[in-house]
Order: sequence, then C-alpha cells, then structure tokens
Amino acid sequence: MSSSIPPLNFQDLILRLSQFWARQGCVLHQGYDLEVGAGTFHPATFLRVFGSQPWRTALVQPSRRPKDGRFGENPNRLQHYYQFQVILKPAPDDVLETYLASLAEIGIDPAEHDIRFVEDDWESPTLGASGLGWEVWCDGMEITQFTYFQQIGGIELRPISAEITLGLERIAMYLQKKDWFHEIEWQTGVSYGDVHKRTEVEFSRYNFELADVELARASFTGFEREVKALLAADAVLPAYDHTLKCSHVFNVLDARGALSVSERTAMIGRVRVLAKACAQAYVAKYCAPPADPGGSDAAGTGTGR
Amino acid sequence: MSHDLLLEIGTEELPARFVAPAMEALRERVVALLDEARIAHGTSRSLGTPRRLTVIIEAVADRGEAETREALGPAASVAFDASGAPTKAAEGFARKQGVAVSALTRVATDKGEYAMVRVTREGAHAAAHLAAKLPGRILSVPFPKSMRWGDPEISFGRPIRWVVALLGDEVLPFSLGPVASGRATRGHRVHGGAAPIPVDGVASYLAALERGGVVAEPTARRGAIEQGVAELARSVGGRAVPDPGLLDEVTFLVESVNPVLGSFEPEFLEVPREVLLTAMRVHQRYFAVEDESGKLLPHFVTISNTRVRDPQVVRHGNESVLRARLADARYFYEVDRKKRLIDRLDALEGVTYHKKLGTSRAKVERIRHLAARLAPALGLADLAVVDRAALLCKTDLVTEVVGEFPEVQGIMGGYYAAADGESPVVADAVREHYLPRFAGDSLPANDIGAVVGLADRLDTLAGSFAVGDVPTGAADPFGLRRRALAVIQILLARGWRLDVGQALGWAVSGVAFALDRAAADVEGSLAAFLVGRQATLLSAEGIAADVLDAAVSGGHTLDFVDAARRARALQDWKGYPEALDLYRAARRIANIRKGQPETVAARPDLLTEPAERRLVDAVERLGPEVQALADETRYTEALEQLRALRDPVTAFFDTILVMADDVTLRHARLALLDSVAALIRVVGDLTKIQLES
Repeated sequence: MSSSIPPLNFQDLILRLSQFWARQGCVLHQGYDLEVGAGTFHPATFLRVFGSQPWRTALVQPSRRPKDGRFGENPNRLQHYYQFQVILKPAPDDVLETYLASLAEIGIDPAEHDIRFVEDDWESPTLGASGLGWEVWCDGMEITQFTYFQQIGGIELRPISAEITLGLERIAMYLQKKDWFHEIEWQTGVSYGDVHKRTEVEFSRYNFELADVELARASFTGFEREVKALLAADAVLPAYDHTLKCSHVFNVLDARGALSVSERTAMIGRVRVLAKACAQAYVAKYCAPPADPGGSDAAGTGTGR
Repeated sequence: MSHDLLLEIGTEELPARFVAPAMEALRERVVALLDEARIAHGTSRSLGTPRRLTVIIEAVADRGEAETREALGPAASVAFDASGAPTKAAEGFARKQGVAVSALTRVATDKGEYAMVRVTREGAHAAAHLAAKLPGRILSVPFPKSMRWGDPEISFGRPIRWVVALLGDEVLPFSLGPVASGRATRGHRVHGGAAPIPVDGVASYLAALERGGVVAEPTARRGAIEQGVAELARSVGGRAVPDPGLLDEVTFLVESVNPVLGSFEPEFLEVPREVLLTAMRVHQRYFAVEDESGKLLPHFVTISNTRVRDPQVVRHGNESVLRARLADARYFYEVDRKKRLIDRLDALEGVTYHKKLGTSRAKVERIRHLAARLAPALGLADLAVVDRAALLCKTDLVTEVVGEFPEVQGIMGGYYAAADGESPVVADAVREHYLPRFAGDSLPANDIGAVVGLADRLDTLAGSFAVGDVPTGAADPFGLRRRALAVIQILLARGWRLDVGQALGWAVSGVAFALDRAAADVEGSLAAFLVGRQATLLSAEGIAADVLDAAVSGGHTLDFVDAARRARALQDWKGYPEALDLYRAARRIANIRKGQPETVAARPDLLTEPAERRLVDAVERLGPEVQALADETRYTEALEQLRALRDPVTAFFDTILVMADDVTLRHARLALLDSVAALIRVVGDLTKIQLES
C-alpha cells in the first residue's frame, strides 16, 4: 500500500504512529515537560513498568543529549531530537507482528524492505536498568530500539514490558530521502530546519561554551538534596522529577567538558543512587510486592491518571 | 513400532551467535532423554534459523526397553524360617519391591545366602516420557544471556512463540510457560504468510518451511550466501574478501537468502582498508569485494532476509547508510592526521585505563619502564626505538577513527605514526604490539613490537592480579588468559630466553601502588597463572600438565623456551622402560629424607659394599655428563644418559639398609642418595610425573 503514497511529512509521521498505537489501546501521553535524554526517563515508562497492572502508552518525547550537539552542522547529529516511545505491559505475544504493522502504517512495508532484528541489549548504568532486545534495521539502517525491560532501578520487573523507541528524524529522513535533518519536511512548506536550526546552534553554544559550570554544580547538589528530602517526605513523583533534573545538569556539565574522569564516574553513581531510591520508593508506595499472587498495583489511582 | 520425532522451538529473532550452539544443545538433550529411558532411535539432526531451533530424530521406538534388576533382600536365614517358609522380614521386603512373597528366591553371595527377587520394570511410553520431560530439557538449553517473559514466566534466549512437537503425527502435549505445544509451524515473516501452518510429520514440516520461504538447514543457507556473494562480486570484476566469521554470522541472521550488490563512491577508497572493512563487516555485516591483487573495490554485498519487490530499494537504502558511515570515517581520518600522535599523549590523561590502575597515560609510562628493562634482557640494542614505540603505542586511542571504530586500534596508530614521519620500525611496532589479538592471529614480525607487546601485557597482568581482577572459572572479563598466552607465544616464537620470575618482579613493582597484598604473593600467582597457560599450549602437542609441572619444578629459573624444551624431553622420558623405577627411586629418596638432617656429611670412603660402590661410581661417571648436556639444553640426551642410573639404584635399594645404626654411615648413605636425587632432577622433578595410575 505504502510505496504509492507520497512520503509522510514529520507531523503526519507522528500522527500516523499515534493513531496506530492508540488503536492498540495505548494511552496517548505527551512528552514529559522536563529535559530528559530519552523516552525511557518519562515517568510513564520508568515508573509505570513497575507492578503488575497492565499499562500501554505511546508518546513523543523531545530528548536532549547535550554532548551530541554539532551546531546544526552535522547531517544527523542533534542535541535535541524526538523519540516516539511505546510501552506495552505486559509484552503481548504478537508484539513484533504489531510493531511490523506499525512500520507498514508509516510507509515501511516489510515486503518492500529488508527488515532485520539485530541483537542489541540495552543497559543504562545511570538508571540501574537493563533489557534484552534488538536494534531493528531497515535496509541496513537502525530505525528502532526494541527492548524487553528486565530490570529498572535495580528492581527485577514482573511482568516484562516491551519498549519500542523510534528515532523520528532518522525515519523521516529515510522516508523522505533527505541527507540532512534540516531538510526534513515538517509540514507542507515548513522544514525541520525552519523549526529547529536555531535551537541546535544556540543550545550547542550553551552546552559547549556558555553553561555556567558553578551554577550547574550547585544545581546538581541542590537537586540531589531535594530528591532526598522529598523521598523522606514520601513525595515520590516530585523526587523523581528532581532526579531527572540532576541527570540533565550532569549531561550539561559533561558536554561542557567540566568533569574529570573520576568526577564523572562519581556523578553517574550519584544519579544512579537517586534513581534507584525513587524506583524503590515508588514500588513500595504504589505496587504490591511482585511475590503476592493476584496482587494489583494501585498506581492507576494513586497518581491521578 | 517407531515414529520420527519432530521438535521445533519457534522464537522471536535469536541473536545470530546463539543459534548454532542452541541447536546442538537441544539435540543433545532430546537424544539424552531417549537414551536415559532406553528408547531406541535412529539418527538425529538439528536445524536452525534466527526464528527456530529444530530437532529431528528418526525411528523413535514407542516404548523403552524393559529393565530387569536384581534386588537383594535380607539374609536367607532371616527371610526364611527353618521350614523354608518366608518370614515377616521376607514379606516386608517383597512388599517394598512390589512383588508377591512367592517370587523371592535365594542367591549365594560372598557374604552368604540372601533372599533375592528379579524386578522387571516396563519401558516407558516414549510419548508420555517425552511430553513429561521435554519442557525441563528445552528450558535448560544454555544461552550466553537469557531473558525472562510471559505468564507463567519462563526464561530463554528470546521469547518462545510456538512449539511444534510431534511423534509420528501425534502431538506431544506440554507447555513452555504460556506456550502450548502443537502442530502449527510458521513460515518466513514476509514470505510465509501470517497464518500458522499445520504439519503432520517431518516430511510435511520440511515441505511447509520450503513453501514458507525458509531455508532451515544452516549449511544450505551458508552455501547459498557464499555462492550469491561470489557471483555478485564476480559481476563487478572482483571476488569476496574471505571472511568465514561473517559468513557464519550472516547464516544465522536470515531465514531466506537474497544477495544484493551495492556500491560506494571510489573516493572513499583513500580511507585505510581496515577502516573500510570494519565499517562494512562489523557495523553493517556486508561482504567486502576486492580485485585479484587484493585491492578493495568500491562494492559490497549484503544479504537481504526478504525477497523484496524491488531490490533497488534495499540497495539504495544500504548504500546511503554505508555512505554516511564512510563519510564519517573519511572525515575522522582527515581530522586525525592534523595532529601528531606524539601531541596526543596528554589526552591519554583523560582516558581511564582502570579505576585503581590510573589513566592510559600512566599505563604508557609503566609500559616504557618495563620495556626499557625487558629490551636489554632480551638482547635488543636499540633502546631509543623501543622507548619511542612504547611512548606512542596507545596514542591512537584518542583519535577520532579509533573512537568510532575501536576494532582498528593499533592499525590506525601504525598509519598515523608513518604519516607523522616516525621510523617505519616504530610505526610497525605501534601496530604490532597488539598482536596476537585472538587465537590463531599472527604474531609481531618485528622485535620492537614484540617487546612493547610483552611490556603492555605483563603490565596488564600484573595490574589485574594486583587489584584482584583475576579470572575465575570460565569468566575472564579482562581477557587475561588470552594475554598470558600471547606472552608465552611471543617468547617461544622469538626464542627469547626471558627470566620470567625477574620480569614479573619488574611488572609488579610498576603497579606496587595498587597492591592489595604482598608483591611476592602476586608474583607467585602470576607465575602459576602463566605456567597454566603454557600447559594449555603444550597440551596441543600432547604434553600433559604433570609433565610441564615436572619441567618447571626442578628448581631452575622459569623461562618458557627452556620449560618447553624440558617438557618435550620429559614427555619422551615417560616412554623409557627405566622411567618407572627411577621415578620410584626418586620418591623413595624423598621419603627417606623426611625427618633427617638437611645437610649430611658425604663420606664416600665409608661406602664399601659392592652396591654402594657401584652407585657411587655411576653418579660420579654420569653426573658431569648429564649436567653438561642439560647446561646445553640437550635435555633429551641428558635423560637418555640417566637411564644408566636405573640398575645401580635398584641394586642399592635391594641390598643396602640406608638407616644404619651408625650415624656416620647413615649420613654417608643419605649424602649419596642426595647426589642421586640431584642428578635425577637435572631436567625436571620426575616425582611430579604421574607414572603410576
């Protein structure tokens, strides 16, 4: 079906994916309103994969990786980009077939392309998290990270969730046959560059040259203190927010070249401690112990869905 | 009656490296299951793709063979009364064995007469046995990494989505977690259609897979890939760069073989060959193409898993991915050449080698110091060249190309060093100090690379042992066994007579700051670890570990070239008719010596018995000869001479009582035996060789 239709523009790509996954019963969330490095940090992922209550969500997460900035001068490296993130808990038996159907929906028909599932396990020391899965190749290009989460925040998950993460710029470039991110058509007559070129230039400058190192260090320490205080006050979700802030400040300091090797390792360790503490507090507060048969988690009511 | 057994575990895409070992492990487990229950069967084979592990066993008997065993009961005197009637004890025994008391008989044993019964157990029904036991066996197939999923939760290399289990045309009913066995297989994701395909036996299964677009036989896929790649390479006037490892990997990345030729801009060929190869084979799993002279051509072959409607789409997609990678590589290569390697030393300060062992810059300094001591010890004259090579050997770690393609570390250093105007021998050494990188890899061709490589590895070994990062069991996360083996291989290949104990002392002193126990302990463990690696190396020549142990236990300096020669001579020695007697003599002397004064006065003048005289003469005659041969490392000849010691030693022990009452005489005899023992140990400690099983 798809080869005959013109390639989707950027926003239609997002719309099609959103509609497809909404039909699979996903809650269409919005991207989280804090700076995060990937969709995995979204509380709808990081926290909702705990406990036994089924959960499906799809969302576009604007993601920031300060170190990847190239002042808009590199064809596909960006410090700010968009991930389409899907979480299916528990992972259904036909999850791969459903995923392949989602590709057909955006114009990547598996009968017309060489789609491969290439081993790629995922590990995030910062999150105390790991999973097994694949990078999905389309004609040799990685278009998706597919992961069966096994552990988050040092806690073994049960049941297992599937996380599907698509790099939207890559897919759009591929579909539209563009060599540069800024050439992507976002909406008729409007390019990705029109929307984001300035963002890339200014934030690359900020991340690499301008960020106030002392302010960032102080912020990190302050946010870290806040996480601990909030956890002590049983305010898990605000505590998690401040963990995300710590993580982003760390990324800025890292991009700024302000961290020695040992300092860098130590800071990663501090973020991990916070992430684990939030995960444990969340599980204790909202999820029945995994060992409890028939136990259900109270997250659905507890977080004001 | 017998039927063919078909077992297919349908999975989501297994990692390529998992499939072949898992196929074989599954086949072994199913065969063992049949054998354990004495169920006769014909030949077995396994098939596999990323999406299925299949075992086919021909002519599986419907039942196992019956088993008869004899169960011994109470003594006959207890089991039967005076009239021969069974007692309560006999009844209890019969009940326990599940037989009538009348079935008991008497049997004579070494310990007297006993009650006995023959119990015959019917053979198991194959179908019931398999259905009961297969789940456990299937789920015990080992994987390098397993994942959990499903409800009930199970664990496997990747999720299991269907199971075909047929004995003849009957389903063997069982469950693996949430999946129930059945008769429905599935074809290729695209070519096989969405619906499960029911099968009723091996033949219909194989036909279904073929119709479903799956080449299930790995050797058939491998052959098709090899042929397809060769044909496309020929079509552009070239040949495939041989790459058996890639061929194996791609064989297990696809279920259907559809070769596609792609090309890239010839300008990219100015990037070093190794970088291009890495981008193609490691990152993209493409086969590279070269001309008759071995020069790369701007083409590649990829194997599509799908027979797509328009192969040009796949071709263009892959070409643009490779173009982006090569453009990066060329850009990095150009950027890298703007800064000399020597100017990158400071940047190594920013690379952590190990959290307890410091930065890569610190490691470079240790390599330099160690190389500066090793080089003269190995007879190398040009110390300035050694030092330059050591100084530069890790600088390419902070180049862009190595950052992007870590596989070409060393190789890029070699290119950049040459471009910087370093001497060719230094450039070669920077490249070669990493050799050998894996089993079967080539060794350094030049002395400088070899000595820098030794220094690098000895430092790594010493550092890892110092901080306690030592291999345990199968786990060797830091590759220390491989590195230790490389040290020995380099020394042997170059015939370098290195005093290993001394070299380890230097290496450990370099990491003294990180030691968590006494330096001597670490040196001792390292020496034992290295000897263990040499044992592995020598076992390939048929030399057993005990022989090497004897070769390094004679109290002489540890030197692997020498140890190998000694071990080879001792291996031959094991076959001599005199070996056993001399081995016993050596052990006997060691026993006699226990508890006796360490030094005893030699008084040959007191040894007047004929057997004593004969042994004294033999030692005086053989001693200097054997020692002289050993000094020239002519160990085989030395041991050959030693054979003559057998008869005098045997005669001595036959007729002489060493432990004479007279202390002076006793000591004189012990002194003689000490000289015999020393002679026997000239090549190695013969008592370490296991001659008596």
